Amino acid sequence: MRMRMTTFPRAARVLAVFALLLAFSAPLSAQDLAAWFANPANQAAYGAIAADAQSLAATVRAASLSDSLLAARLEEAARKRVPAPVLLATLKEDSARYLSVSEALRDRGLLPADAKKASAMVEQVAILLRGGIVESELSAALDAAVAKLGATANNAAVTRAVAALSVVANAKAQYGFSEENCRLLAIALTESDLSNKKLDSVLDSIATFVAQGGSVSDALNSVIAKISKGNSSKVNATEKSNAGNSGQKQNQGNSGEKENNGKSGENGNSGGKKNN
Amino acid sequence: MIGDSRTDDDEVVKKVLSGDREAYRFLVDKYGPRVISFCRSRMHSEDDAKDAAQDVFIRAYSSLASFRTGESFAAWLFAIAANHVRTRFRIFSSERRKTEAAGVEVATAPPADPVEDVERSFRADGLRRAVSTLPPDMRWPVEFYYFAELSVAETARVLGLGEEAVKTRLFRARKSLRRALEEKQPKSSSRGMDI
Amino acid sequence: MMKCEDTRSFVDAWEVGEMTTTCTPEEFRMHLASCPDCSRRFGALLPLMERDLDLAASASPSPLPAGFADDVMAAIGSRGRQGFVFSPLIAAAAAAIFVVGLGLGIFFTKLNSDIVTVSFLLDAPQAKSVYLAGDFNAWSGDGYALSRVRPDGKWEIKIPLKKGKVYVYNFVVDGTKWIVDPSVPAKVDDGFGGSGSLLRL
Repeated sequence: MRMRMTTFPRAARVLAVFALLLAFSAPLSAQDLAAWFANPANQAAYGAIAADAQSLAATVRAASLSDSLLAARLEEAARKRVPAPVLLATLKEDSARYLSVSEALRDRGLLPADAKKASAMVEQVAILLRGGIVESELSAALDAAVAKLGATANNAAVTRAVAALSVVANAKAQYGFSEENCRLLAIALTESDLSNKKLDSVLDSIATFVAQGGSVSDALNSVIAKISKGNSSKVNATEKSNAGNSGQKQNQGNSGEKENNGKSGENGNSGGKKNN
Repeated sequence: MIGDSRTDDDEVVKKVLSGDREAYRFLVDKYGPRVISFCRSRMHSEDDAKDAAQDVFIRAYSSLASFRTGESFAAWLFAIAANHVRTRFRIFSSERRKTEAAGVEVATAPPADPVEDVERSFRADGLRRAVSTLPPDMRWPVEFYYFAELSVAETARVLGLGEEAVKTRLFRARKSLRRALEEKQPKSSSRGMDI
Repeated sequence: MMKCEDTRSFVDAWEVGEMTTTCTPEEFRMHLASCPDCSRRFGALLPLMERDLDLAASASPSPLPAGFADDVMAAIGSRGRQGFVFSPLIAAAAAAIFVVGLGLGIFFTKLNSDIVTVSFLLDAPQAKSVYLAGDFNAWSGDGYALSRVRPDGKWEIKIPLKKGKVYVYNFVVDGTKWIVDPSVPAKVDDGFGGSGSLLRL
């Protein structure tokens, strides 16, 4: 018996213990960070960053948000076997992101007073920001949602903005639209009469338009025009298609559709598939 | 000369990806100062800038598999850096925007250095403050081209713009910065250039 | 000896992106060193000018702080790259190109007004196991195994989820390979070097 134990690789034994502990550990939801780090498996892997994580959690709590935001990220990191220093670097980003999202929501009177509800709302928005949405698009969508639904209907307004932005995120990833055009699309979607569920259909419309030989640029124009309230100042977004466009130069002299906006290359350059 | 910088970077990345972790140090040493300089533009202190810069290298390491050899490593690295600083110091609230615009000083201990360095660091603070008041479409090009020392081509790549567009924005930025800095004469003589 | 007005035209030229020949950068710097007025006016611009002139001289950024590289190397060395692989190869093998557009890998059936049943599909004929891990199950694939019972051989799982929210998820193939859903264009940066897929209900 003992012989077998010593020949069993140490790493595998640690993992086996890890797995057992995970299998029997309580669900994460209400646990605070201290409890998470107290778990021996987590302590072994991430004990070194516990203190720093706790101070980040303190700043999150100071903004009237819940620890659970960071706890969720810790758990995700553990599952993905992320090294402790990488996790810490990411937690710093996450904390800052949660704080600035909560400010953006609070500024518009949208943030609930209850920390749990506020955190749930912040988390939703943060997902979009990690999904390629940038500040200008977020601000535009939130403002449009408030204009449409009022700040007192805060949940509905944020849900609306998030729904619109998820469509923008997909459109951006698929077609590589510029930031300005994404912003216009975000506004048009948020303001439109389409239900949240129906917003996805816009992507199908673009796809159909393009499949029938139209340029991506025209597809976007046509879609925005269709769903807008007829405000013509919105329809001057022009995407320079690959085949070349007769006429309009884009506002800022962009030479291409793809804008990285300083986004890291991690996601494969925003995965923009250009349709020729 | 050991040859084209770009092929050097490619070689090192290949080495790291095939298991030679220590080879990554070459890239840290090579780009470290520029990353710190870039981060300093948005961080409130040298320490924060250094901390952010280290995080950038850690993030870059974990994403190394997504770097496509043949492309500019500098552009790829600074895109990660930009993402990192932009997230950590995103300014959403009008409160903070106003504070930055007013050039409110963040309390930092004055460096215990000879006069020339004190003088230089005050000037550097002035420049940084002026840059922080630029609108985003000018600020990023300045940070990439001047602080990170990317080429115009690399800057264009990171921002997804044409080179002419980048040059135009840099031109407008220089104009703007000059005006901002020329108007701002230090008021108190304790700033010490009056002899 | 350079005069203040020459300094001004030097700066003018720099501003528009040209470098004048009326004086050299060295002369400019020397003038600034002896003229408090010009120094106050233009001193802060010096680093920018030097960058434009590609001068590696005294204005180069401070050398790397001691221990900077050591700290980074220690950080990345602490767990190594093993077990932390986001392999694009698996994604290629698994790629089923669901041709029509958004969320074709995902189908909905309504349960009640608040909850929908979402079906996740993955075409991965070489995989031995596939799990679904996302923020709705705390990233634990346990109990969320996909199975291959469909006639087209695709892996599938159906789970109930609350409407009106966005979710992030991955497929975990053969126990260790975390991949995005190839049918979803939008990727959510997970901050750890990989991505998840965006689902909105």
